[in-house]
Amino acid sequence: MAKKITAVLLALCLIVTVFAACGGNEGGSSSQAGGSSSEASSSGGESSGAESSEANENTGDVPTISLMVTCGTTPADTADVEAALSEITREKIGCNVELITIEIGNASQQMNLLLAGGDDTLDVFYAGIGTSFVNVASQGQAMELDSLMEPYAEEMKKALGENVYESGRINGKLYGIGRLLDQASVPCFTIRGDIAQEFGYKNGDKINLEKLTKLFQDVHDKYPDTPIIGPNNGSPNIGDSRVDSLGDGNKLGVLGNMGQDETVINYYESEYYTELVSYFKQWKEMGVYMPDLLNSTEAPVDFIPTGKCFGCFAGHFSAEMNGIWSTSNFGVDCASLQIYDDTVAVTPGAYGCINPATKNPEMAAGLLHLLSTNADVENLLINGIEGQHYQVLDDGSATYLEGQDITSVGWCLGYSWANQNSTLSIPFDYPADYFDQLLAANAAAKQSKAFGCQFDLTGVSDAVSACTNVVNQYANPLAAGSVEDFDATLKKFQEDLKAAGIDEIIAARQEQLDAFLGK
Amino acid sequence: MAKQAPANALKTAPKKQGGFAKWLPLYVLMIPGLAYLVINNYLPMFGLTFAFKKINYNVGVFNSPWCGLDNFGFLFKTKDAFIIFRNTICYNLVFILLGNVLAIVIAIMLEQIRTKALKVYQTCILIPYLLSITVVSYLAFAFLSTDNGFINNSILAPLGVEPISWYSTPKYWPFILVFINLWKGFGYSSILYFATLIGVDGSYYEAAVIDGASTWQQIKYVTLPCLKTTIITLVIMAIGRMFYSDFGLFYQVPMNNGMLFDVTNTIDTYVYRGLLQLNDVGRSSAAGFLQSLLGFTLVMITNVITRKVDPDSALF
Repeated sequence: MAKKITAVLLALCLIVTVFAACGGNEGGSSSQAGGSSSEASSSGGESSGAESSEANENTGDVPTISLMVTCGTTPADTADVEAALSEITREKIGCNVELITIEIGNASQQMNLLLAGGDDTLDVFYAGIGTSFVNVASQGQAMELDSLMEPYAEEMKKALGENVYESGRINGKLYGIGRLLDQASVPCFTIRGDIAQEFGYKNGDKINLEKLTKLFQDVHDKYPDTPIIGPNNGSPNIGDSRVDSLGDGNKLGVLGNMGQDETVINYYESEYYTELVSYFKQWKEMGVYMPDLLNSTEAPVDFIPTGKCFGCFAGHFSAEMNGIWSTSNFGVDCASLQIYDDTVAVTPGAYGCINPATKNPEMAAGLLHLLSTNADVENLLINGIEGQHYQVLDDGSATYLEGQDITSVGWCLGYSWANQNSTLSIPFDYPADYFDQLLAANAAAKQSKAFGCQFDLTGVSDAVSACTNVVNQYANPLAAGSVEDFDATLKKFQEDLKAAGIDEIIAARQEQLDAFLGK
Repeated sequence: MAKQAPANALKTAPKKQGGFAKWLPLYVLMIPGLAYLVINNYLPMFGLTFAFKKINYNVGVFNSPWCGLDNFGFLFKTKDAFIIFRNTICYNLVFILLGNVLAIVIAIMLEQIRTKALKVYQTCILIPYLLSITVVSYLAFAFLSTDNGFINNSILAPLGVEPISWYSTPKYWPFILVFINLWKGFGYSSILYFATLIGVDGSYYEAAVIDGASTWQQIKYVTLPCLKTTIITLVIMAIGRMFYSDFGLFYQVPMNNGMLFDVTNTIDTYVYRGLLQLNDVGRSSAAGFLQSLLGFTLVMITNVITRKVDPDSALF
């Protein structure tokens, strides 16, 4: 009998632990949410405390607008930047700004929680970083902005470009303000500078896949023991600027011919892709891939300077700038070679949005306006405070203070891309004319026919998740040269995509594109 | 029988004394646990409705429109459906079978050790259980990596065998995953069995020894019958988790390598990969709902069968 009781107790105990364990995840995530919101409210409390003393000097209460700031790890000096920023915003729009830092690694989860609750913990945020703009808008997490932005529209169109400003429209309604950034990315191959020089190339040179393969062959003949293609962000990351991937990293339905065609095609059955795969095959046969590339945890900054591998693919609006960036970040001279001649300008990837739950929509709109047009505000958010986080050099570019680097500086430097209009800021560790070049590259690129078309794939979301799984399964192994039989794998890849419903996605995109083009 | 008397007394006593007041202290003790259970395990059950809704945050999740079974469709959309269900169920079956056998063997071995070294062994076998799966995945990588891996460099190379590209060869992975799961879990489950074993009355063994039972016979006729209830309890609990998989094991350890999806894709990893970018609460809830429903059904069936065969061992 005692045994039976023990057994029952044990069973109960187990049930509780099992349930506790499975509930544990939810508990964990919700407590995380609680954590961040309580953090938010406590820092809100601080700023309102600071505010109240000033409020006595000024008149009445100053409301606080919260703003999303993307960072790698939460920076130490958030309060300082917040204070400096609030000084500007109190004068211009009559509110304080509270910065909610979102770590890029957790952005998906964190944004999901911050936006799902319907809380106003985040008044102004960027959709497209950790979230999808179309989903945010269709799930009712972004406010319609047309009437709110009206007083600012002209000025903002001038600052961002009309095409960028208008790109935030879904079904004719403005849900977000497009981020001004490089619109056209050229794939390039970054290789150690001395090797490039030895074989007759220099930073910023143009090359095509055929010549690149020749270069790989020459380098490999001379240095047979060192692999040439390493990973960048965990995969080979070979871009293809000959198509507009319509805002989808998995390229489920693209516009060919530099985005000049009006027919959505299946990228993985197009010549663009089959040609690339034939090169993957050649490179694999030549033996220039880093072994176990997909499983390597090393970043270019690890393997290029140490000579473990000569290079990797990268994407940038300018190969030359990418080489300069690599040289200053890897600590060894690097050259980036541009792979395709032309570039195509595509729809922006992130949008400044206002949470419908905000208490002060007008002020939030005012903040979006400042973010788009005010150089002081943008520079503060991007580079931090002068003398505390950066210094301006004689040539007009910014860099770290003496003795500081990315690990010790108190602000999240390096996230200019996560801001509304980084072209207003001082280029950091880039030439002073960096943003002029960026704007010039935007202007020079062919603008895709689908620029500004926002695709809503919720109608075919089953096919999207199935196809996403298929692409995950095949695309990287093919590009990393880690399959045995390229032709058979490619064929299987194409068949699986068909079975997963890629044609539905293409048809949905085509329909929406036709509507967008007014056909 | 002497032990049964107080139990009977417990059962009858409250009626006589109108005993709610008598047991009040015990009920009070129960409150924190009960509160935890309700808040953590019952309140979130509202979330189950998400599985049948098309979420729109603008009107709030509770006012979002119903969408029937639409959210479940994506799980069965492709031929992957077969693979993910097959992988999830088959791996779990193997884990339950081998995991319990191994744990029982280790528990019996521990029980036979009567030296002070016991504490050391116990600690050692528990260590893998306490490691984060991310750490485990890098341990595995240290063994399996093609260029620097221990197996390729220190075992296969001296034997003159060609290095194996582990991360691009699916056929090895069922064995690797089963091995890692057993290695990681055996310590914990054997402790559970060991705890039951040390509670077994020593006089059974004494009697068996006097009757001339060999060690093997002692295990067969004394130890295993004593473990029966625990085994059945643990197995039924495990069967309830049949449609779940250890996400870390199937996602982190193979390093999310596409080449291995055929043998590493389970329901959980499929849902994660498919929905990560979509942030679709409705469909992820649908997947979770289906998993719990199937698990619950299995537990009930197993319990009914157990009750038929051996009423004493059934859970409820």
